[in-house]
Amino acid sequence: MGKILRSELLKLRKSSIWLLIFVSPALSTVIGFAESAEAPHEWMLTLTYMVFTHGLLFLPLLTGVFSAFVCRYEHTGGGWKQLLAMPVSRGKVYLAKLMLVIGLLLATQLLFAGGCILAGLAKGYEPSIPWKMIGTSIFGGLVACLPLAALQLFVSTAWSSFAAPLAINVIFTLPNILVVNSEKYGSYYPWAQPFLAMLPSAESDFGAMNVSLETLLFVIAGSFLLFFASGFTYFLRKEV
Amino acid sequence: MKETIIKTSGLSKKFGTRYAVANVDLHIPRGEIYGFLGPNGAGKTTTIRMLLGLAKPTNGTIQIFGKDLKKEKLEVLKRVGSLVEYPSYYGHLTARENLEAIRILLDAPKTRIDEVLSIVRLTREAKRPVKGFSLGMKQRLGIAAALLGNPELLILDEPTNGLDPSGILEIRELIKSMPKEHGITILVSSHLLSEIDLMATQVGIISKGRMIFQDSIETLRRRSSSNIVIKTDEAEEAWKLLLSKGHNAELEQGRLQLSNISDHEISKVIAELVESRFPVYRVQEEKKSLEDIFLELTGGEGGL
Ligand SMILES: Nc1ncnc2c1ncn2[C@@H]1O[C@H](COP(=O)(O)OP(=O)(O)O)[C@@H](O)[C@H]1O
Ligand SMILES: [Mg+2]
Repeated sequence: MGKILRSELLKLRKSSIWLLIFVSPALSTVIGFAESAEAPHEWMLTLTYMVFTHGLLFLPLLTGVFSAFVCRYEHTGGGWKQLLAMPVSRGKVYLAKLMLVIGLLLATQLLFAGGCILAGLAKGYEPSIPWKMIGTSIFGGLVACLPLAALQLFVSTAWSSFAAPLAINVIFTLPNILVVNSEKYGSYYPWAQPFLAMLPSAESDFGAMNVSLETLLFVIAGSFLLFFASGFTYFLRKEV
Repeated sequence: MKETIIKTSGLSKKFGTRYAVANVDLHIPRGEIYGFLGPNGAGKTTTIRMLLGLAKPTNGTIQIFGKDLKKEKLEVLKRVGSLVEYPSYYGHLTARENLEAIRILLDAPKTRIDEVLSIVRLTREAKRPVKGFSLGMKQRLGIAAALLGNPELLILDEPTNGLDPSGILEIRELIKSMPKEHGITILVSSHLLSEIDLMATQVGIISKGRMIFQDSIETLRRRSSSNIVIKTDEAEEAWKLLLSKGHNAELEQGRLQLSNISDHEISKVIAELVESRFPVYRVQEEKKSLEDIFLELTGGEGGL
């Protein structure tokens, strides 16, 4: 597994895609600076403003872009047949690709947290940095992205086209804008979960996350297992 | 009896309702250069993909190094280097980085990269991104990648496709040198008979998914028996004369043909024709080329 990850990291590092991890955090930080937040909830308000563009649109979209990209250089140069004719297990290759996507998302989330803290400190917020609130938000967002990453990796390994998986992702992400406003559907729609999980709340429903335990178990874990199992078994059998 | 490196039995692959590969029994002994020959679409790539575990056989079994590929795939693949169809590469990486990405997976020593780069003469281009490479350079990089793990078995699918004549020559010489220098076994496919003729020691001919010939190249060449062709007037009368004298002659396109005939008998035939006042314009020997044999074997299907 370590060998496969090192090889994957080499391929990823030399492509410029990882630069995308800066885009959304930078944009969100600008918003964090621009919007004025009043005491006593200034940290929470700033984080909420920042989460709006990031969690609602960019984070789900980036999940798709990252997944498509870790497959793109295999599709374009005929890499799959070379890679899968090596003495490596297909299952580990698939896991390594997924870990790469998760790693990129983690980096994005950490930068986002850094941006939020930067905005708050620069604006001289009185209360000290709310580590728990920010931490809950970014890790919750990451966990909520896992089902999306699993689905997008499935689609990206199956289709050699780069645009098709991204189109799927956009089609599922755009309804977020409507869905999150709905009490009824919001907590069931997987693409809305990154936003909902990142949105800070005064009384957190369930210890470590901003979403309820039911949502975490059934919507996030459930859809992750479904998408991951489908993609994984597909990849084990894929003919290249 | 030499050790068998690749052995398949009843290997078949169905796409939809059509068999792209049907009942193929490959037999490749150690140290041979096995030329896998067949026109485009005959099923060479499909067979090779199954040998590498990239596609699943519909039927049949594959043994490589005496191991069942299905059960011990990774063990087998550790000892195999391959290049399937067009070369694989990561365009955004340099030649060296491409090889490094593979070397890590194979656990090969770093020095091996320089060795394979020099074998395929890419040392000077090693620092350039591969997306700027010509097809021939990508092909050579693909061969370097196949050699990286010091394989005992090398599987090369049409490695000279799209190369210029000097590139073809170079790769052919490289292939020919390997069994001698390193004792490796090579399976090399091609749709060009002339190419297989120049490098293979064993030949397997596949057509429409079926193996129609598998033996040493000498056996194939031995089939190229010679014909004596005689041109004369009133060929039909002449032919009847020769038959009446007990010669095994054939009449083809107004010419007389005698196959596998001794010098003594041919002199008699000519004397008899002249005595009976048939004008003998031309006596010539016609050797069947490997192409003719191939056409005979495939029942006239072209493509070579
Ligand atoms: N993935 C596939 N799906 C359907 N048909 C295929 C597939 N791959 C190959 N074929 C068909 O199988 C036959 C053999 O193809 P191939 O093995 O590539 O031939 P060759 O390498 O000898 O030129 C062809 O008719 C081809 O169209
Ligand atoms: Mg082919």
